[in-house]
Amino acid sequence: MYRKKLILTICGMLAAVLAGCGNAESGGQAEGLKEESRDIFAMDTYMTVTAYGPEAARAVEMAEEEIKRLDSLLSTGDTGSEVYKINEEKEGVMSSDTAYLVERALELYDSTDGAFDIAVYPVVKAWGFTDQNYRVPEPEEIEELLKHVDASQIGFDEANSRISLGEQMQIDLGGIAKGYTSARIMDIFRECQIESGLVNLGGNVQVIGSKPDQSLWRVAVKDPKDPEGYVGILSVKDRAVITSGAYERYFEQDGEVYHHIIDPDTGYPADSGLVSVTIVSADGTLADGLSTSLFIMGLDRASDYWREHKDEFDAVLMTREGELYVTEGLKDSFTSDYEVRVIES
Amino acid sequence: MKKTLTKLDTILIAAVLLAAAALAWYVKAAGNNEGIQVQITLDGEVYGTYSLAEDREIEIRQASGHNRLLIRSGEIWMEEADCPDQYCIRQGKIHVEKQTIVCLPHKLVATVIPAAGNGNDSDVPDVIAQ
Repeated sequence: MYRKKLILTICGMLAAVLAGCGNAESGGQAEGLKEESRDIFAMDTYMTVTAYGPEAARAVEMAEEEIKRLDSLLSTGDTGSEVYKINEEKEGVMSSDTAYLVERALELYDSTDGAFDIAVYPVVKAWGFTDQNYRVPEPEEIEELLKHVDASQIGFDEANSRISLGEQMQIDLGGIAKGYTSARIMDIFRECQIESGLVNLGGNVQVIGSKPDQSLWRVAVKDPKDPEGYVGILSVKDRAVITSGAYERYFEQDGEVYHHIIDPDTGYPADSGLVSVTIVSADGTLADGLSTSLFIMGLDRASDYWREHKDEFDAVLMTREGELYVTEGLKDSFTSDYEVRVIES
Repeated sequence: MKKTLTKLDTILIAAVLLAAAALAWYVKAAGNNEGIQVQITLDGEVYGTYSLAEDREIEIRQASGHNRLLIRSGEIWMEEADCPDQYCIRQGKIHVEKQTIVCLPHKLVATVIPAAGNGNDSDVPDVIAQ
């Protein structure tokens, strides 16, 4: 009798545990929040926009319209775009979005000591990264082009939203355009009372709130050394997570690999010892601009820059040797199988 | 009769626990290996969903061009494509949930997804920053 009871009790307990596993998995959907998700091809990349809430469908629709609007404004290749016109005519009055981005770009140029420079565009073009006609330019050609790479020479009249460029100058706002776009989508989400949402603009991630089940969003950071893996996972809410890596766009010539992050100082692909930089910030535009800037700066300059601006962002950095660093603010929200070194303030 | 555990009780408990552990392992293993699928979309529309447990060749012809994907030993990759940049081929083999292969010129996306009915595993990220 007693033995039978014992067995039944054990079985009962096990059944409860096994059943519990199954239920826990569907917890996320139990909220009853409407999910709306859409794939969008724009800004030369693949994007997904996801929102949860009663107004999710409207929010995603508005997000797609906003992406297309900004794309047609900021594209360097589209002959109808505002940026194209500025590059052709060398001056003009800008719309509020473009003016805002130029202003932010010039601020970044100052604060990063020129690591972020929207005037580097002619050099990037010479390398073929804009139209995939890759080539290694002659040193003389790069030297000549570099003479006009200097965002401090851009005339910007803030009150009248006027811009003027030097005769040989051309700009590209692509270094902050996607971050600004994801920030704008967060504004739209807030207007639509979306408390939980996520955008992924070709690997540039920004989230609003936490997940529908109230847990934090888990954002993996791609491993530059292993295209199939990731270096770790960030647990975040209300943040942009934007990565720059040498693996994104590159070409090989004569056994040499050339990636797309051009150092405005040298005119060559940045060779700072960093292979991946991820910025975590509430400000999507800033996160986008700083991901390339810190990549160009290298570990030491990037660490110093963070110490001066640590209220605005945090970062995950990986060196060519595979050493992984995170700034102090992330030490509790970043998990990794790698050994993680903390950059202290 | 005194209610203390006899040797037979102990053996029984051990046997039941062992059986349960084996069952749990089986459920988890089955979930991990056979539960993973890949969904292919063309310009946002679902083209097909395939189990990664079955080797397969997926040939896709569109007005924009041609792609050939292979599923072998639980992984999928772009074997061939006539797009100008060939980035889709460089993206390598994928098999972990949320990973994607994107052929931008052809607006083709292959995404690793859990099997129908399988909720999110807590180990799986929501999105990959890259």
